[in-house]
Amino acid sequence: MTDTVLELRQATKRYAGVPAIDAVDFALERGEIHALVGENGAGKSTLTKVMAGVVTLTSGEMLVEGESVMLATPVEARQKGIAMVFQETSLVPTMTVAQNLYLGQESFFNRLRGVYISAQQFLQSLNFDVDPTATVGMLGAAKKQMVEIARAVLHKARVIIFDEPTASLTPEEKKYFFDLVFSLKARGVSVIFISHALEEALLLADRITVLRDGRHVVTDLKSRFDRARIVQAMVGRDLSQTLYGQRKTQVRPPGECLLSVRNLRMSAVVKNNSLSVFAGQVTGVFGLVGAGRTETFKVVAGLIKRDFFHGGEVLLRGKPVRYRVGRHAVRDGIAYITEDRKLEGFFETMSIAQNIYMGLLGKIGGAFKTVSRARAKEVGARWAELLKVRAISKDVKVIELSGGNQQKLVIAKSLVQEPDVIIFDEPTRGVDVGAISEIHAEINRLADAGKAVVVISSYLPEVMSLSDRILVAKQGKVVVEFSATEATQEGIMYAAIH
Amino acid sequence: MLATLTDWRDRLLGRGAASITVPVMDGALKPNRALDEAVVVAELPGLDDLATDGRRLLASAGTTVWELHGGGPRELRRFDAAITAIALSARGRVAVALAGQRVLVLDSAGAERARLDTLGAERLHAVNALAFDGEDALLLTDGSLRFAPAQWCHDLMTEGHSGRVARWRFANAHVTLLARAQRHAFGVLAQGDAVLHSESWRHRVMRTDASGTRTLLAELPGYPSRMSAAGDGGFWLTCFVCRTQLVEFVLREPAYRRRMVAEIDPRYWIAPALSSGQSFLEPLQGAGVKSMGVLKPWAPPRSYGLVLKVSADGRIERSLHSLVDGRHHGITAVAEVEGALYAASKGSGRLLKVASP
Repeated sequence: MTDTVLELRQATKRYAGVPAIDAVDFALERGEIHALVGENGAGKSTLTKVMAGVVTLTSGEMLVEGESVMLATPVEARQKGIAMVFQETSLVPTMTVAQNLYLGQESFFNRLRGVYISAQQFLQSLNFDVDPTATVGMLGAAKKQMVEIARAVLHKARVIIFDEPTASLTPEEKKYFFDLVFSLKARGVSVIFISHALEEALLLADRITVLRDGRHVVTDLKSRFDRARIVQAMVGRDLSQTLYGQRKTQVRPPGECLLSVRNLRMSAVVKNNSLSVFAGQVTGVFGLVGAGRTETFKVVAGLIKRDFFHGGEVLLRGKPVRYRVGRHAVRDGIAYITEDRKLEGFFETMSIAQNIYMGLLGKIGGAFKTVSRARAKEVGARWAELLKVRAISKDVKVIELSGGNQQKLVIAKSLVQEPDVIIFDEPTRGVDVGAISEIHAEINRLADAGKAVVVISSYLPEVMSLSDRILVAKQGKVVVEFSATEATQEGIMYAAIH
Repeated sequence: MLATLTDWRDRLLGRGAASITVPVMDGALKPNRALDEAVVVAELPGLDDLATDGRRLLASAGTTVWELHGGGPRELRRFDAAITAIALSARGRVAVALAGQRVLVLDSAGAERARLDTLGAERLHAVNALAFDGEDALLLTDGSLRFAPAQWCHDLMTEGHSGRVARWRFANAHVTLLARAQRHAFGVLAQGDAVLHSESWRHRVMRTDASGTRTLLAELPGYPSRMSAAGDGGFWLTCFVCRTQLVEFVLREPAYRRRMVAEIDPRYWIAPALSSGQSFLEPLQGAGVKSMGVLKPWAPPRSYGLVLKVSADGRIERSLHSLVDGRHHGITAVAEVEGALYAASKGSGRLLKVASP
């Protein structure tokens, strides 16, 4: 490891003025395995997307083999020998492995047999045990990763970037994947991988870089890291302390157990998950991406289905429930406020009042659904006022609102249903600071009013400032519970990744 | 017909009554180490039951009744059979159940005042809990008509449902059967005009009064056993063993259980136990699994220590635990004495004291 393949100097990328990465310096050596770790939103994905040409830098410089470059597209990055393997593979599932390998490189007179022979030889040279004639859609996650890697190597990639490569792999597949990474290193290929599993970083990497709040914190040799040092580097922030205040010193006493989830299973994402939610409390659910938090509560709210066989139980007020559609959960007093408001949260061309009234219709149900304009305006105006949704005019379309006001609208759309169990999924994602405090005040008001409130958040200071009890999820299940008075950032993060 | 089809569907899909789930220990049930860290007051092999009048504390172990005196145990009396339950009245009367088959009431001087051998037409068989209801009546639970108190696991694995709860007015030798066909009655307590009694295999505590019987506490994560009054009007409830998905699964497999009961030494059954780790032949505790070199303290147990503090209206307020890597498992009795809580860990044979319960 003597020469630098890829380097970023003072790399900054801003979205609408907000820095996703801010003056980050990063260097990748030839034949090096380099782990990128950090909390959700730390800037890892943005940094790697810059390297892969998916996004361009706002300021700063990128050098490949010492030459300054500005990669505008992934194609340009591949031409420079940089390939990125995403969590969701970019393979065509209906084509064979060989066809995927040579996609875009087909000769004019293309013989399938020739492609298969060539692919077979190439895969054997990598010692990859994949049938070139197999349809990609039929392959497991690890084999798909192999095909992705093979394609990157075939395109003469000198740098391969993996984004959460092991998230969907079984333990056996993970071992296989680790062997592949080491074989790539042996071939002189440099590897960057993003992982939330610190043990993987400590096992695989030569060097580890920790990012926090879009800034570079530390880069060092693996041998100089242990888990405690990484966790400390990941969470040791101060900006958020001023925004979210200090930790709680008092918690609300629990009321009736309104919601109980027992041994819930959903595919490979939720694994035997169990938890309880009590009235009059805010239950915070923390975990890293892929911990199965959203999926668990979407099952509760009837938005996705649990496993057909032995899928576990959801009990509302002690009685088992299984909702086929979300409307039935709404009828029973469960509101799920989505993390993806643009996709699932509102009708963007409708007005504020119409959107809020749509929420009320979800509660009413029945055969005759009519929207009385006067009633819609009255309900909409009242809730917009209650939640301080600010707009230029009453009839403005939702798409024209700011992120914070859109989020408040989504919340109002659910609260108009007067639910007893309210599940907030990432309630302040993409929301300005002023709106954050108003949304937090509303969450606290709901808990004080005796509602059972769940706050799913990937942002530790938010979870700690809001929650009376904190559940930490890891790999599909809740692994530990903290009272708000005893929780520490380090303790929660340790539980989430250990 | 419809019920049969529903039952068949549930068994096929693992839903409803056939869903192999156990309640989660969180909220007030959040695991802690209060029992592991409790002071060991005495080591009494065979320790089983405790009784108190609020000032004195009696403990039964084997055939002996001990009294806690000056910080240590003092032998009070020895009987000719194993003591399976004990109770103490406010005026110093002592009630003992011997071999589960007879109940004696002794006055404060130790003289026998009354004796009970039968409940209705059937003999007492497995009396496992006693509680005074005033000075002239005694509440008792008879766990099973088929198995002795020590064979509670046989009763669980054969789906026993012959438990009984009764009130015995020994002053006039009148017995009232309060509940029958119980799936292991184990634990009883007078609460005002009502009687609380545990039904272990149904994981619930019932409340019986003049208006009838209703469920006070249900869906417990353990098998409830003896109770004792708390100073604030609520009560303490022990769960002598805990539920696990593995055992729940075994309980839904009758053919497997029949063979296990017939062919395997009960010490090595896949079943809950009061203590574990004595033999390599035992089924591995879930918590025997190490992750990253650390014994997983939250993994499902084979033996466990659990005491619940329950409010008078049936809400669990807090809990005391001995985790799977702890030793104070199989808590069969608790007693609150002058602000301190004493617990009998039958699994370890230790009398524990929790100073600030």
